[in-house]
Amino acid sequence: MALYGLLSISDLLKPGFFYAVAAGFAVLIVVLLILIYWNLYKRKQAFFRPESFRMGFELWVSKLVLEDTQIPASRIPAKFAKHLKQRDKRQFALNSLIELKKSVAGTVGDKVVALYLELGFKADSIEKLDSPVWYKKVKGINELSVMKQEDMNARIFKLTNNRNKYIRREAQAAMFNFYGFRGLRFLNVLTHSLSDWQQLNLIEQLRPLDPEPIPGLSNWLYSDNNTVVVFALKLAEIYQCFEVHDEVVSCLTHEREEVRGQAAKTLKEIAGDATAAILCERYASETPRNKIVILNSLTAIAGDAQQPFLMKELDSGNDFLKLGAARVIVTCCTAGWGLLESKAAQQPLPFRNIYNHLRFELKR
Amino acid sequence: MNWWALILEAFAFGIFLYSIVLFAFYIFIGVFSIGETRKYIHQNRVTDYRMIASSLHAPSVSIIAPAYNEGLTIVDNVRSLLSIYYYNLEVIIVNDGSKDDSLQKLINAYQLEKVDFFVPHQIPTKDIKGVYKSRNPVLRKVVVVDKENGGKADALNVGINIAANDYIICIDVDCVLEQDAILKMVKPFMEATSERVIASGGVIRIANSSVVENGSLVKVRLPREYLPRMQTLEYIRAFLLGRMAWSRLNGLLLISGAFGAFDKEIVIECGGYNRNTVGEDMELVVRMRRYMEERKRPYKVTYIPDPLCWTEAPASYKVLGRQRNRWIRGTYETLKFHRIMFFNPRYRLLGMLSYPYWFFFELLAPVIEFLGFMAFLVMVFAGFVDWELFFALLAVVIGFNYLYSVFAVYMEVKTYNQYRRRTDIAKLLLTSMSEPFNFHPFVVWSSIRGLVDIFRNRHSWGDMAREGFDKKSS
Amino acid sequence: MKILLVEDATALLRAIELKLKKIGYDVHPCSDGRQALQELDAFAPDLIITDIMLPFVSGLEVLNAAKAKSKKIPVIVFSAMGQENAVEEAFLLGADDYVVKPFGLKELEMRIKRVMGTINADANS
Repeated sequence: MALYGLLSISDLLKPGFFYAVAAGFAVLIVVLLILIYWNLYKRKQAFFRPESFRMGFELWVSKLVLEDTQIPASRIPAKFAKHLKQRDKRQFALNSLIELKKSVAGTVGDKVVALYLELGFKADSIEKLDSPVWYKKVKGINELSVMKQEDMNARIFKLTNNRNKYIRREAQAAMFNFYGFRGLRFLNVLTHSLSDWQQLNLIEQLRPLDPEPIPGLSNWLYSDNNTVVVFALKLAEIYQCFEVHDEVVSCLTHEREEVRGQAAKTLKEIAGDATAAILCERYASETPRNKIVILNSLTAIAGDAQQPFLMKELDSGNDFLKLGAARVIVTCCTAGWGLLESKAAQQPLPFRNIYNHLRFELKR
Repeated sequence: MNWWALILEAFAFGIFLYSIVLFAFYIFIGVFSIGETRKYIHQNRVTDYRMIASSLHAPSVSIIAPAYNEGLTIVDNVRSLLSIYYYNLEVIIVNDGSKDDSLQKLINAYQLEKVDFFVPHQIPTKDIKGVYKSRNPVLRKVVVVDKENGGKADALNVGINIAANDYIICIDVDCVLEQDAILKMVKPFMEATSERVIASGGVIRIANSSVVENGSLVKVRLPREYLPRMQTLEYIRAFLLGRMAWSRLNGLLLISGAFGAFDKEIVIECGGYNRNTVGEDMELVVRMRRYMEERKRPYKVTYIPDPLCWTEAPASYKVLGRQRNRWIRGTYETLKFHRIMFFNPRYRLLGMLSYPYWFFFELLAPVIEFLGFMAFLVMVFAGFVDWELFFALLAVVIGFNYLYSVFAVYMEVKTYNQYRRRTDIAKLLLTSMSEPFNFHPFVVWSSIRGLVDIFRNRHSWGDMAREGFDKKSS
Repeated sequence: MKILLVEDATALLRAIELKLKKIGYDVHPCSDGRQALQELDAFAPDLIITDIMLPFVSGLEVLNAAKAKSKKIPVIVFSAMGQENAVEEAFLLGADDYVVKPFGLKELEMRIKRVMGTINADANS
């Protein structure tokens, strides 16, 4: 009966114990209920209180930046000065300046920056930059970056290789925002990864810049950091950097699939006479994903010299690749349509469908 | 001491142990989700999503929406999908052999014409009757496929074959997506550097009683009816707490069929959706994970807690019962197909934690709960356990349920706060009070009936396709 | 002349509103797409200026709705820098002009005058 005694839950746990546990839960529930309603109350306050302040502040800012007055105007209305001492309203005001600066250029934009300095917001931004909390740091960098406070560059540059990806992302964007292509020198020393998201972020910022030779590009193509290589390849693609053609070709044998794929994509834009042949050579050993990329590049750069290779590919590979190869044939080979037509006559499935598909697709 | 008493004691002890572990899991999930949610929200605050909406270099995405007899709403539904702004996008509507005039309505509304289209046969499917595109250049993103009826999984597979883009987002056609839904779903795929993100799940929220105009959600309202309101709470609990915690562990097994994004290449390598289960959404995720585990390729399944997708929840007991019946069957089938992973260290966390959790606490929970409750009643009536203990235990279980619900509401208020009015929150909390007596027993009962159906109809697999598909699933 | 102005950055919205009012236009500001769709009927604007990325309903939807109502209402869209694709899409939907952010308010004023000028010239000829 020793075993029974051990197992007996009614001996071990009396109703009293369970009531105590249930009571404990009840207390926790009450605490949570109070928290829920406290939160709702605070939210409501936060929503309604600054509303009038916001309207007033935005009106004042709009008038100020539209008029031909100089800033500093040293006439911050007393009603704002009082409000601006409060933390949440201060941030509110700062955020609306940031928003405005992002959208307007020219003298109005300059005035927004002047106002930012005049109201002492730069100190706020620096305080955030000093914060050990990552998202505050990120916000600080972002504010300084939007307001073009280039004198902070040394501190921000150090953060471009930070362990936290959000901090380094924002710092990288800031460097780029300050100095354009020259700001990209952080790539020389970047050991952490540069995610696709961040690459796109930078690329979208790059676009309004006039294309110019990118200093350091060929070095980045040999970087130990795969993500830097991919990014450099994307830059070479977008800005059509013919001067790095050979470096890009050497990336076709990189160990990482995504690097090889991006190299094949880049070569489409910077192709020379021999490029199509090089791509065809690499084709056989590539992954299915990269094969599609190569075929896609070939549609722009292949010629009759690649015809035998392409005809062979019609008979190998899956449907997707067959379609891709057929597309290259009809767009790049002189007798392309005829070749595909006769292939379709010999072997209607699937080539008749492929033929019709391409007829329709390329007609558009 | 008689043997019966001993067996009953042992049984009670088993149930007790089970409950302790279950409670522990819930507490762990609740606590574990907090950190992840906080991190996500801070990260969101410093992210500019707009930048990629119109980028040429953003990943290309195909939305796949299967439709079966949706003639009444299909035109509006498609309109809603088209109003989402994302440049590298294609919207594929798969008409799964509808018996109504869905196709003709689409043709008329969107000036469609039948086109020559070569469909690469990467995943075997039923026959395609035709592919349609619009003559209007503004609608060049639209592809409508007409096919033989073959069930939801088959329709999705056709969409996958046709999809030209790298990522696919599978959704129920009647879902209303938020403007930035695609941007947010695509981001995790672009964020990963050391491992490949193979799938990303999104939150489903309940749209009953909310105002939808022109295919977009104009006003969020708490559902007026009891069942949808109860499910609102249920979904908040599941999505805001459960999935968040599991995704932090990288242990998610289910991405809702109503809204999920996948890496197309991996989906095709795995062979697409399985046509032999009613739980095709869960089965695909489990199979994809297993595939990556077996090849030792580093991967991740991520999850986005923002409310991005709104759908109508079943408002009648009949439809709800059918839905829950199907869910449990889907879970059973998925777990059965992949039983090799059960406590198999080769599959790491997936085999040692995710799978067993689903087995014990999702699949078996209704059975154990039902049997346990019955056994307790028997014991009370037989005099082995006194009434006081019975009520004390009941108080603990119900108390815990309330606590978990209130905590979920707290997290909702603290994070997304979709229901701003104090009275709405009060209504939600009051509704939760009735759950242990009304909603929950019904759900348990429906699940048990689902399990009974499995053993009754074991041999009639083929019927699945002809069932058509009702879409509400989470 | 009545202008419907749709922009979710409220500070910018306010600044443009002031600027245009100073010139003498009757400006109706909206900060999201839903509101804009309602105002389209209520306010019956002669010109619409809208951002593309808006909360709830995109600027392209607003543009689409406006053009569905009347082909004659001119629409100018804002786009963030580098969003040529968005602009291309906007033109497919019938937009009359676009302004790239960040822009100067002078530039916006000129674009408005130009768009209204060409429309009036068409009407007179």
